[in-house]
Amino acid sequence: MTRRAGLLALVILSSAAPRPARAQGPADLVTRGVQAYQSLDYDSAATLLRGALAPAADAGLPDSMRARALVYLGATEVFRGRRDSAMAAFRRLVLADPRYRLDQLIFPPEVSNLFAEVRLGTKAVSVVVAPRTEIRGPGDRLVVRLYATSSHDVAAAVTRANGTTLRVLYRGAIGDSLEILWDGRDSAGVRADSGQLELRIASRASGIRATRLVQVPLDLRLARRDTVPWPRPPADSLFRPEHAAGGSGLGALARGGLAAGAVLALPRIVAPSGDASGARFAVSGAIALSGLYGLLVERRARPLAANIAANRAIRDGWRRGAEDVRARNEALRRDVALVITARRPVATESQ
Amino acid sequence: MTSRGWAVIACGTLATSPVAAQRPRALAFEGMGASVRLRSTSPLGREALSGSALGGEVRLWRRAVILSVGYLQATLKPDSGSPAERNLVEGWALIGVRPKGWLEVRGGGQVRAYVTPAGTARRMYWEARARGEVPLVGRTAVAYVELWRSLAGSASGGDAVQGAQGGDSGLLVQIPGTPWRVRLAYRIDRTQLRTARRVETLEGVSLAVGIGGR
Repeated sequence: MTRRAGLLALVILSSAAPRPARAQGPADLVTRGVQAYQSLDYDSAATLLRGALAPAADAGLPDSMRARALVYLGATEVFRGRRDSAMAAFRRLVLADPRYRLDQLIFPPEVSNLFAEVRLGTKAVSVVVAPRTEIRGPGDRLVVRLYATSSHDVAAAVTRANGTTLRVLYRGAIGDSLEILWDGRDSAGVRADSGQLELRIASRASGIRATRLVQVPLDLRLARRDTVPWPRPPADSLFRPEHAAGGSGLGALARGGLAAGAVLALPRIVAPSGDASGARFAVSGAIALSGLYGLLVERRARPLAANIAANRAIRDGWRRGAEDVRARNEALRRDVALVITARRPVATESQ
Repeated sequence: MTSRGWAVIACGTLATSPVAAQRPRALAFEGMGASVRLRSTSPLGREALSGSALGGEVRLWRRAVILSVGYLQATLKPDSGSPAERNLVEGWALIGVRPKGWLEVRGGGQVRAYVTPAGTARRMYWEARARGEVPLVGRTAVAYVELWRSLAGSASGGDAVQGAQGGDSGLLVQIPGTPWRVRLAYRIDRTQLRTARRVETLEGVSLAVGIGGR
């Protein structure tokens, strides 16, 4: 009974303990700032929204939330009568997202007109490049998409690490957006080698003076395709013996000796009383020599034609396979791809 | 063994022997040159003649059966003394089988004639032959020994062949990669004539070139 009462008291005490205050993240600040704007509490709205956009908090803010904070901050400053601050907020918004358009159903004309004025007065582009592009064939290109705040002139070029121009990609006007292609070659048509390059897009407000420069570091790497491994030579165990061990050869010698002896004995067998001529010795000698030669031939290792043919077929098959691999590897070595890795664009304003 | 006994053996072999090496039909020709020597002894004295011979043989196989026909001609001149010069003409026709790869048995007839200005002396033999072969260098070089014996015989001039036997031995070389072959052989035979009590021994060494199956 005492234990049950103790547990009950512990539960009551734990539920009654004060909860920790909810952390005010940048997103909460934006939400509360928008609510303050809608409640016409512009000073609170400005404080909250600036708090959300402060450098310490801004890093954790999603792009859409940042754009929402900036547009409401600009509108808040309009109604607070701080036009410069409003323009600065709108300019920051336009530079971050040149295609951003104000919702005219939410914001009154004095806000949207000022936003339009800022947008038209800001000459900048945002650059979108695929993080990784592989240029292997003649149809492959690095695709660079430019989105402009307003119509102006741009110059796009690929430059080397020392700042010299490798290739001018575009020089002319941009309206809303522009797509620029690069085939990975310099102005002479030679393919770029491995190394560090930079894509530079300069926005020009008027004349030739650049007002804003966007730099996209490019890492170039020549990628060769993996070659096919060389086929392993056939194992020795696959080959059959090509020669059989020779015999003693004594059989041939014995047969030759017997036949030679038979020639010599023939007169005694057939005509014992006659006087045979010596001509038989020539024949007998020839047979004996043949038997001796047979001895030497039989002692030699005999080639096994069937095994030799089978081994040749194995070797020929391996050679054909190796030749195929060699031809494929030659083709693979010729097939070199230029891999371009684009890093995050960096924008700088010219003074 | 009597002549009748040899005949029985030969006919039996021809009729009943299992054929171990049956050959397809084939034809072979052989031309030969020979050096021959004739020795003849009788109660009247001895004669020795020698000379060169030319001849040839045709062999025909049809499965196991072998048919051979041959001819030899020589001019024999006396080695010494005064025997008359004579021409030797010899012909034979034999049929046989090869019951084993190394054994050949044949039988048939052989006619031999000595032609002199005074007349022609003929010998006629019915004979049986057996021939064995042994390889010396694979099948490229083969040695053979052949023995024959007359089963019956006759002679011109009212004489009769009392007995005859002979042998032939040599080396046969098949030239590799060609159908040609060369044969070096030594032969000797002995004929006893009953009435004249004459014994004739004919021997020779021949070199032959042939084409076709053996």
